Amino acid sequence: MTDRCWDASYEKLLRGALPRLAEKETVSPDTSLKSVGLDSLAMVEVLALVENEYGITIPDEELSAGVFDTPGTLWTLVSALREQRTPGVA
Amino acid sequence: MTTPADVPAFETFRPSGTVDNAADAILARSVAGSPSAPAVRDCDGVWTYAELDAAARDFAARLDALGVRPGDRVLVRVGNVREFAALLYGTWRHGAVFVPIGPAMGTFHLRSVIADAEPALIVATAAEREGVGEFAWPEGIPVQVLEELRLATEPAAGAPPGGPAGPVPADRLALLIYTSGSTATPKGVACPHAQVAFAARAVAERLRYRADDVVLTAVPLSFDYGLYQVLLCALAGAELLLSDADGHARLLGYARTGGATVVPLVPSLGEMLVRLAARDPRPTAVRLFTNTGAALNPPLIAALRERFPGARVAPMYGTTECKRITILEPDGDLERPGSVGSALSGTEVLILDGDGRPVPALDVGEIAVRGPHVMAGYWRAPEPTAQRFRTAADGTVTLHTGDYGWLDADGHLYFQGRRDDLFKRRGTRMSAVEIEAAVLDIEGVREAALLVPEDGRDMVLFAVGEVTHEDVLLGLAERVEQAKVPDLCHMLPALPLTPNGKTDRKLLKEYLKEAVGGR
Repeated sequence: MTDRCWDASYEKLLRGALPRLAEKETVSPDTSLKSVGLDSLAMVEVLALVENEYGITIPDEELSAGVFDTPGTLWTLVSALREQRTPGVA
Repeated sequence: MTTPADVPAFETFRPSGTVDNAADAILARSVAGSPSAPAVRDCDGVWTYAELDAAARDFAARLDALGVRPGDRVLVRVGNVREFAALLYGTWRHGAVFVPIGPAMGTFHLRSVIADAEPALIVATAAEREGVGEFAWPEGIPVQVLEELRLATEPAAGAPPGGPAGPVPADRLALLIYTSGSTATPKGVACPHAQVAFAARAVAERLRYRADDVVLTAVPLSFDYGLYQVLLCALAGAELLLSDADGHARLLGYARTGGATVVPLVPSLGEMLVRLAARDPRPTAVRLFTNTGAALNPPLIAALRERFPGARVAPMYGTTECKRITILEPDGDLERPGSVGSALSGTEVLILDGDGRPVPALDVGEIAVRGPHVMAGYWRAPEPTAQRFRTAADGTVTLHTGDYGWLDADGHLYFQGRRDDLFKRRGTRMSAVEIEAAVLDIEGVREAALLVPEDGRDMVLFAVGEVTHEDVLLGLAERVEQAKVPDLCHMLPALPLTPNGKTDRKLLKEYLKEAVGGR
């Protein structure tokens, strides 16, 4: 479902916000973000970072618990919002 | 001793040796006076005061039906949901003891809490119907599932069945609140009805919640800071707006649509609101932030004021053993930076030396407390109780908090830390709090925590912010004596936190051991 198709800045951003993820050699799309230290404060930090990086605004109704489960689930939402913003550039 | 002014005590006739049931003392007036006002709202809906009262009465009746007796413990682990308030008042009305447990409590502590509390009933979510992870609920204790309770909220026509909850014996406990503190196993603080009602009224007198307030409670209801929001709202006829930990990324939007006017904060929640407000600066209705549990540091208070213009900040200090000790008037920090306020009306704060004698103003000593809010001790733990709750020959109980601080000439308290946070280094006395405060004064530092010298290890500083560790140590050297400047400073992306929002020093120590080989 969630193959690792994200860009380098996404991985860098996650590693920067989550020190325990930074220790891992590879970031798998299925890593539980909670297990690498994503608490609610880190969640808000990651939220602000991805919004800045990709020039998107994640609406509150999309901020359900599942979105921040793994790097893959979050990336799925980020890519969907980027596509909406720049139609045709996937 | 006086009772708090302008919060009239409930005048009811009661036999000697009994006290008002806290459910009557706290909830009854709003149920009678504003039955159709919103009482408690969560993301699934809202109950009015009449509906909350009906749900509480229904739960009390079910406790009877289940054979729970007055004085039995009802252990509740449900998170921040509307039903929590009904379970609380229902348990009080019935005469049983309410034992709130946070969803974040791990099985290690949960096991010892259940063995200690010996609950007659457990209320848990459907996901924890059988137990928590590997831990199965003990056999023989009935479990009620939150999602299947379906409490009847239809207020009965005419007078509610059962009338007032009626008096309870003076030694009857309303709450058993487990605090993990620094000890290996959590201790239960035994909170009788009269003490809980007094503490709630005394806090209400100072904070002055209004009937049109909406109090956004995202701190856990299992934590006494969260739980008393239920009581403070009922005393004022205000609305309690509940957010669970899963909803924190949406907290600001939730505050805005819910019309939140008051927000109790621990530092992590404050940080979160500041960050959320930076990405969405539309105005909110917030007029007051309160704080206790762990202190908001000055940079965070400044950021809150900037992001939430019009909101005032009220620092407070307390301990579950007497609920609340001091409250600073809103924005009092501008005039008295670092103070946590003065004693609640009708209570006393003392600063004592090693022999238990009061010290002069401005001198640091152990913070001790007297008054009708001092709880009844630790559940089934006579030794720790005797150590902290000391009874004089005349029967006066003095609660020794184990915290250190000083009073100014006007009776405003300044908190300095636990006994263990005060230490001597290179011949100079110092406290972790004063060094952390100096570090926070450095431009670009957002958070700071100092591990005090221990087991042959020197003190170590941890800081969070857009600066290097060299900047931090240089900045600190400009501000304090050399003896107070640590050799080591580690920069972290964030400080680790306990479920109640305090800096998790155990994790910092583990981090030192693992990441830096114990140094």
